[in-house]
Amino acid sequence: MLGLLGALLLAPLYWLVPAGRRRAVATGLSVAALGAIDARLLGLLAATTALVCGVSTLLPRIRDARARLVAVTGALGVVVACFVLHKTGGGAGGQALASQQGLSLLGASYLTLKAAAAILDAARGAAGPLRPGDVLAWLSFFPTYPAGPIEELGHFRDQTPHVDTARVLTGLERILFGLVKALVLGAHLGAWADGIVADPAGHDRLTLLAALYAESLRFYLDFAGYSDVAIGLAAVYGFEVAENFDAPFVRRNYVQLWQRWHMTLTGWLRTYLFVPVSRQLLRRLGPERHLAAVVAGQLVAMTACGLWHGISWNFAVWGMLQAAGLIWVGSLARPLGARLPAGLVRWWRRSRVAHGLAIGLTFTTFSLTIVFAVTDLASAGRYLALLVG
Amino acid sequence: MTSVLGVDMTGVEPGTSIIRNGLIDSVGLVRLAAFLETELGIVIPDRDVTATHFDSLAAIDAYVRRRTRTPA
Repeated sequence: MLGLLGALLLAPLYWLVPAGRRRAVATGLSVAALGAIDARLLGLLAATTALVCGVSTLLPRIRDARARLVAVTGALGVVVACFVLHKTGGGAGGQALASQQGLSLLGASYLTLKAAAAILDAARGAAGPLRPGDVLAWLSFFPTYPAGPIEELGHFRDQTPHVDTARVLTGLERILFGLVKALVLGAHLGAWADGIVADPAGHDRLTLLAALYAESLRFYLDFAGYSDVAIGLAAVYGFEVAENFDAPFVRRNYVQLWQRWHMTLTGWLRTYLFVPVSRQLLRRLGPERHLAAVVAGQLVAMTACGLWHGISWNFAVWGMLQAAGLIWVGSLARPLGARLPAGLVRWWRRSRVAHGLAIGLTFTTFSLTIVFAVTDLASAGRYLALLVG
Repeated sequence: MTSVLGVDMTGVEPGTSIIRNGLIDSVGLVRLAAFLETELGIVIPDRDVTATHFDSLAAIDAYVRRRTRTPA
């Protein structure tokens, strides 16, 4: 909150800066703010910038395929090792959202994804040598640094910061909405639901189910509210940042929900895990084993999604359950639907009642799985046993 | 498209977003890319299997035309 307040107070001075120098000034302010929050972040930013620029400069010069593989694997290994240390190091230094616990460095989870994306883009030849100034500006941009949205380097780098009254007012309104979502609605729902999840015995089934619905809404309000603040603050500083949520809980199936939930994260997972893994397997296994390839791709992508949220078994199971939901909708349900009576399928697709049922079913499924994201494996199992038993 | 993706594409305009309208998802993208590679003899790099190139029939057409003129 202090960071947000400081950024808003400094904004009028920033608007006086000539347009051509705003990016550099925004970078300077971002680095200074992050250094003031935690001096270790300066080292982390410098090291990540050097690694990304080094890889993007060196890779095009390496002709030997094995040497390229070693270089890419080594760079990704460094990034993953830092991520694991960040996730398992303990402490409260990395908390940006109310739902984040036990992280050691602010924003390091998001920094990891950005760095990995830049390294993988360099490996695929999608980006030429990167300039340190561009990379540092992208990595450190204060509005999105702590908890996203995960901006693409090209989208951020190619913008010329533009400030006008309408944009600033829209940004301020977005910040206000975001704060209400995260700090008022999300926090209260979370406080109520956390108590029930922590001690479910003695509550009736309806309350247990309502608590899981509340946890889902709490995560949405927390993440989407923070994204609103980040997008709004970026607008105040003249930048456009990618949207992160688009009413995910009024979607009629799991694929549609995940297409609108934390969209910059799911875009990352699709681009750097699901597509390459499933296409690689598809080429090896052949088109007749298409289902196996996409199932493996979904499992890899969503298990990684779970482990990105927390390195523990409950998050791994949560990720695999999300994969199962996506596989069911994307690969299994459609062929099964073709065997059902045409009238029933038509009703399911066109009826308003069916639309409402589908939304409720999707939200309920998501909420039942969220227990694995809020408590350990054994407690989640006990909770679900109480719910159904 | 209908046979590859298993969805009804009747009435879909060339500029309609087939991703935002739920007609194609990540699995559909992979399936469609594999189909285009096989049928048209082109190579589609992983980095191109994105909404930018596959979000509408017009975008797919434009991408395929570029791809058939340009080697991978």
